[in-house]
Amino acid sequence: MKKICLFIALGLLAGACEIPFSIDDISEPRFFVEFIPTAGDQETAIKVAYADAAYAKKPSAFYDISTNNFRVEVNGKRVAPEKMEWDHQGNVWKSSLKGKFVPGDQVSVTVEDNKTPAASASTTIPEPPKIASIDITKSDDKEGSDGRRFVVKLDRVVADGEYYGISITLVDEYYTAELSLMPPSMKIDTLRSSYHTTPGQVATMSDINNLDLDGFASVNYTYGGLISESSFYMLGDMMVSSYSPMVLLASRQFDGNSYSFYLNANFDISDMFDGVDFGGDTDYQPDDTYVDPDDEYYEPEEPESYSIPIGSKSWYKIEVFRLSEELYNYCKAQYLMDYNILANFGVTPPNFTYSNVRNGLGIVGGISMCSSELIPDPFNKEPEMPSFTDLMNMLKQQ
Amino acid sequence: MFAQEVEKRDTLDTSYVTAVKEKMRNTTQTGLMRLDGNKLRTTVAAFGTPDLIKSLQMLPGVAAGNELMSGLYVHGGDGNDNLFLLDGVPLYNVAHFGGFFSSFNTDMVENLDFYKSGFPARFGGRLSSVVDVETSEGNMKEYHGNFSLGLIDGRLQVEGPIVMEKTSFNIGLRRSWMDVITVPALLYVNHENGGNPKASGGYAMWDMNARVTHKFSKDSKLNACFYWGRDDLKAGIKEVDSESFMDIGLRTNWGSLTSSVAWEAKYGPKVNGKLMAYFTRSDSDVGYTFDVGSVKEKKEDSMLYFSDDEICDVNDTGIKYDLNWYPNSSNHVRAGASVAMHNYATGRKYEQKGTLFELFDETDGKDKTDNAAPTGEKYLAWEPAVYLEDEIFLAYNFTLNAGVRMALFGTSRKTWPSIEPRAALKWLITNDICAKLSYTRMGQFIHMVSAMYIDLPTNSWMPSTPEAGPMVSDQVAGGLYFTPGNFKINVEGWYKTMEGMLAYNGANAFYPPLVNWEKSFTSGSGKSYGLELETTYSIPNKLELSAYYTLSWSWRQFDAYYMFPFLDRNDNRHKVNLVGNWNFAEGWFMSFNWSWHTGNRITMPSHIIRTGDDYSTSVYESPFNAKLPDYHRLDISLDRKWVLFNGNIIHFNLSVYNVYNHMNASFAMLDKDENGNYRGMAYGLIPIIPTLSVGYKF
Repeated sequence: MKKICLFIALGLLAGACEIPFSIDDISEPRFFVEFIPTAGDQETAIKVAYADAAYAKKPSAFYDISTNNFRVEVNGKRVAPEKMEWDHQGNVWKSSLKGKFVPGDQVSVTVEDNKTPAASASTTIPEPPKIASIDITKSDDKEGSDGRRFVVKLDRVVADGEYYGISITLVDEYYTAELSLMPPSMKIDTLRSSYHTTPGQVATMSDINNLDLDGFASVNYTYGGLISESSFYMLGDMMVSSYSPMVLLASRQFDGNSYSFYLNANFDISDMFDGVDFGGDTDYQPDDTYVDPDDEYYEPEEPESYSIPIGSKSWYKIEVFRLSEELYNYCKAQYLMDYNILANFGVTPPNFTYSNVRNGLGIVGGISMCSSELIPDPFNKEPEMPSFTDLMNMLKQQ
Repeated sequence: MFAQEVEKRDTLDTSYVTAVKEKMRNTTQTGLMRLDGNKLRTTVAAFGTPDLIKSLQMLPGVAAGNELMSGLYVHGGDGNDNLFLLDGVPLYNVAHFGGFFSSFNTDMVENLDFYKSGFPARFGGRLSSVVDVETSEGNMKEYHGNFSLGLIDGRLQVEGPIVMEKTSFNIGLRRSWMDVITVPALLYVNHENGGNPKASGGYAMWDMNARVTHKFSKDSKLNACFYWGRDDLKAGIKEVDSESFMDIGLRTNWGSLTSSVAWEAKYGPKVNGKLMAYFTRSDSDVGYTFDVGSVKEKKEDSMLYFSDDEICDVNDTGIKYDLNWYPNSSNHVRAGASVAMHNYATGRKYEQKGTLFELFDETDGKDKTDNAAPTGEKYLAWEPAVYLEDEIFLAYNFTLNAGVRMALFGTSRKTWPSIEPRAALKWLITNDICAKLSYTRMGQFIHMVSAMYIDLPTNSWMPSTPEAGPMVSDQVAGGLYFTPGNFKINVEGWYKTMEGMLAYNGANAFYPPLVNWEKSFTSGSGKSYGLELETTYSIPNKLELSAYYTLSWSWRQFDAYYMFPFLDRNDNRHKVNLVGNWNFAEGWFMSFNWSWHTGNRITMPSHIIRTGDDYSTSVYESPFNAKLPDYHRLDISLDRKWVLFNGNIIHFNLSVYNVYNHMNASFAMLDKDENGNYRGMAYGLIPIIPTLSVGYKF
């Protein structure tokens, strides 16, 4: 019997044979452009990269780029940049453009030199959204912790074909028995780390197959830049913490002018000194350092004194973005690139290739945004000083 | 020869009708192929079982998609836009076991008409093709049957009279043996593991066709047809130690059922009609269980138990009437009306229980047990349709088939009309040469919710919604057809556009969401054009050699994927098929098929950006930008028959799939060669597959 099984196993191994093949002709050198102009006074980041044909037989060289290679036009008129300083990592060149774009501006970008086909793209700066109201209610999920349900209403009904994004920042104050404030604030990836949070629905485990999966799609955005797991090294930007997760929304995900989502904001504060577990994605340490669990030389420092966590207060800040259609498609593609891995095997549609750059790669897409003030959680409770006996018991439990 | 291929057999023969049919030799349809059951049963079989859809895959203008699957991508279509009719009843689920076998039992097939263009007005509801399969009526005088046993399945077909020369039956059964084969494998694995963990599982598929025919008179008869096919897949593993246990199980079953009653009658020398009532159903249930708990004194205490079932059903009930009228020798009028009620239901049943949940209950006083009743959504849609077509014999050997089909599709949210003109013109230049031209518009109101290119039970049909409306195609086809001597040479070209196509744009590939499903799809368009060449040389009852060649382009435009048109995954630029059947000696029969086509397309990273001395990242420029290596394989089948002393026949069949063991690419990934240069690396999975089957015909 063993011989038969061995024969079958060898047969299967022989079956899954490798067939190298040449696909030299599928590409030629291109410019990669990422330019996401926004309405307002913000500087817009520019990323330009030389993209070599993947199957070129000669090793790719490093190239220079300067302001002379980069042209921006607003409503058909060239914008003369005051001063653009370019920094680079490999063939990825970064700069920023100071300029005040206004909603409705038609922004065109052209990148050219004498060895790569000129790449061009254009976009329109969308009208910024306006938040009319934000309602926060208490909503229990079925995983054993209470959460918050947010209803964000815009000042008008969302029309078909409009695209939005939403981002939420959670600010927490932790109180210890010493009543010292620590840390004063903390910005975390709440939407991504709350694994059973699905904006638009109150999700339970039993909803997993009915989820509106578009509601999951998110990218990390900061003014003028995107970052995704797949493009991390290309961007050469290690400051991930400066990016916020932006959940992508198509018009069909709004109910008239309102969009509701759920946030599992409540976590066990007793975990604070062990590193708060936000669902597996983030391992936050109180001293604001990220710990590599595989680092064999890491030795946790002994705390000098014991602090007893006794409560917390929360605030929320909500940002609503309006995205041009091309930017939405690009962001969605960036998201799917990370998560639809089956497409690599040719068994699902490939949906990670979006670009609106003619003769090039990347995105030129307009965005505009509005932001709420910091909103205190309506269910915040003022922490109370426990008795000495209770403190001792809590200390023992640590 | 032409007449055999292009004119479907009329059920009621009369001298008048025969005379008219003689005049109607060489009907006007382009893109029509007729295959009879005998021919289907002699094609090369991958697992010893002849397969109707795989026979169609060999034809020009058709792409097969993934190897060994039941894909049928006709003239640039999407594979879910083919109308399969089994005895006139739409069949939704046309394949078993992830597409490895089609649902059609070839023992039961009398003939099939395969339309790729020039669709007559009597057909509608799908964009790309019509596969009209008719099962055989049972023998009215004698009992006959056929039993065969292949590598992975067995088939039994029996027919005969119920009332001599009045009523007959014909029944066909198929069942796979794979669950039987897996039993010893599981026994061995469990034996090697000492029974812990214990694996279980198996797969079985079966189907049954039945047809009862009753003749009231020579001008009137009744047919009752029935089909029922099921697939059942189970897998599980259970591990137990002295303190705990874990039990994980997967269960999936799916299938189809069709039933119909049709009354055919001749109302006079020039008119006959057919009234049919039918029901068709497709359903699937994909579920799993997860159970962990403690073991005390050999007693298992479930602490955490989940059970989840995803259910999807389509139920159609319909009635239709078709009329044939021969008002004079220059006209053949067809008219008809139908109405169908579609019921689409999606749902899920979820259950969780166990002592761990009860512990939560005690902790915070909340009920954490979720024994949800089945939930889901139901959609009801009505689809009335009428059609009228007239085959008109004009002067100078011209024939025109002009018609129109009008349909409505109404749901609670919206009603869509569809007006579909059809026209075909034929010019009989000489007795051996004719030219044809056709234009058709086709509408499709239903969509397949599928995230993968593989036939999975999680694929489900849904009606159009305001966000995902009907699909429409327009196709122009034309060709020249020669029949010199024993040769038949056809050259056809087509140009086709498709609007309202859908493509999945979400991340959950295995379970595309069924509630608000349209939110995860993006719409786009397609375009296809090409040229087909078909050459056949035949010596009746002795030899038939066919060569098919297709030159085609298939484009897609989905703005959410890419802002420019891109080539489709199944854009096989060149396709060649050589098919032969040779009755080379008494009792010996050989057939072969050699297939070659330009490789399917796949999406590969197109650019590399250097981000440092030793770092780089890859970028995708466009979908399906790379071509897999060319596909080719040879299949050979050898059949030996002996006639026994009692007149019965015993036959052996040896089929070899992929004779020269060419590993064709199934998928590909990015790779580096020994010099560090990027290249594609494809992976082939399907080796040579020899199969032996034995049969007994009585």
